[in-house]
Amino acid sequence: MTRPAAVAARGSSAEGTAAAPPFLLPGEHFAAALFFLVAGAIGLVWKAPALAAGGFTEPGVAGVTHLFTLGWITTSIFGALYQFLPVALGAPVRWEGLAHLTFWGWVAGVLAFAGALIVDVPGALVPGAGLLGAAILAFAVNLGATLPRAPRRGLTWWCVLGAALFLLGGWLLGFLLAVNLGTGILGATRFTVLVVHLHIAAGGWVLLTMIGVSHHLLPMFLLSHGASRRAGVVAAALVAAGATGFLLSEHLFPVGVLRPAGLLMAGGAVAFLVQAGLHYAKRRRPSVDPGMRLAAGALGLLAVAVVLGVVSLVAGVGGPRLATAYGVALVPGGLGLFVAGHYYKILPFLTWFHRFGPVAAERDVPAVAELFDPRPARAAGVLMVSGVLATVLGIGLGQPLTTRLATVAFAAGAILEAGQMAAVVRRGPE
Amino acid sequence: MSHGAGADRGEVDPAEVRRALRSVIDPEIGLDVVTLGLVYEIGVDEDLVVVRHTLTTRGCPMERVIRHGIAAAASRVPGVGRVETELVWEPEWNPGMIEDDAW
Repeated sequence: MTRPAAVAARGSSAEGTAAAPPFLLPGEHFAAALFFLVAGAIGLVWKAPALAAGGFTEPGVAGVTHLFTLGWITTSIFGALYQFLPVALGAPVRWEGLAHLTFWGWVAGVLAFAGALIVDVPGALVPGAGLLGAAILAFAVNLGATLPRAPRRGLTWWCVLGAALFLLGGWLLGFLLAVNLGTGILGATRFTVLVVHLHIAAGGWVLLTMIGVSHHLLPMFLLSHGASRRAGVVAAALVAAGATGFLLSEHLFPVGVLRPAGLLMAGGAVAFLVQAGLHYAKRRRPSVDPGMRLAAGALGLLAVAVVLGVVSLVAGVGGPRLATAYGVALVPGGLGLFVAGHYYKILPFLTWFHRFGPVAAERDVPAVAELFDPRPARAAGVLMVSGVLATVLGIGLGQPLTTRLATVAFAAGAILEAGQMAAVVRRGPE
Repeated sequence: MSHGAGADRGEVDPAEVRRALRSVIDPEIGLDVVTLGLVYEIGVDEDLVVVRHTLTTRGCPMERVIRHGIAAAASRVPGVGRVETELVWEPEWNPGMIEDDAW
């Protein structure tokens, strides 16, 4: 019997289907991000004694921090958005060529900026920060041209828009801090600017993006469609309000709004944890795959970070070890590992879609989850989550040895995950 | 268009098409489209089969993969000469539509 050809989908498919996500654009971002994850993890091991002493303002620690914030987390977000926007908003990135150029400028900027901090060459900070700013501006322009074309403008759309604005704001303050390192122009306000910069970047850019993207992805990955998503809306509003408060605090000296802004942001984080918890509780899948298991661990670390952050804020950020522990729980912990967990979903999906999808109707192909071994994935997750927890503990107790062993565990997990992801992208039909 | 058993008149049996569609696996979830509850209706008109189905999420990039899978599986049923797929979004899919013994 001659096999008939299927005709194109009828009915409402035109409004419902999205452009296929590209491969190279998100792929190059993920590859670079995984490199920065491993580099940052090794950096944590190197700087473990400084962390245990509460040295979060030390240039080397700042450099390692930016390997995580800029190199791992932000590069991942850029790549994920390029893959995610066509699916969630129905609009692929406006200029793919510009996005590629932005990527190379961004990677060069991260290497220059973080490198300058790590090797303590203040004179190289401003050029590195400038490169980062140019890349962020190009990203914002591309996103600004893309978002109006999206047919769907729900919470996800607004979170992505708001997050991009806070990314710009966070960079401006970061640039100011970079200039300050060479000139001292900020004087006594330097520490306040640093706190504001961290929270606009971590909260306004990263957490708000997580809230917006999770609004779409968590129900999809956990099969929890139908669960209430009100807490996610509350989370987005509180985080955005908190980030705005932090931004305004820069212009309302004395910094009367700093504590309220921090509490607003903490409230937003709690609302997000409630929303995510609801999705996990209402899931239809009985078991949780390694990626979502790691994401759950990350949410636990985010909860730890919220507690430490609120205590630190109430204590007037006067304890350097407390502040450092907060930073570790937040950046490589809650935020960084939430991203890491999602790699076990998005990178296998991207590989499957482009390599196996075209032949899926003609021959047997593995499922997306079968592109990697779940056992090392679970081990990587356990190493990374427990590594961060133990690092926080080591810093809290001021113990360099505990901190170093904990960071070694984290690094082992990061290397394991990076290795698995590298193996996934090499999979293809035989 | 016949929606019931028409095998006695030489028509394709929709139940047989439904059984064939159990070979179409959602690659991300790992369950077939019938178990997932994505197949809403199977219509038969002589050698033409029309499969009305949905997806778990609007904008799902697997739409083309699943549609081609449905078409290929349905076309392998004896008597089927043509297959059409119709993607709909009403009623909206929810995990409650997954068969009870899915996992």
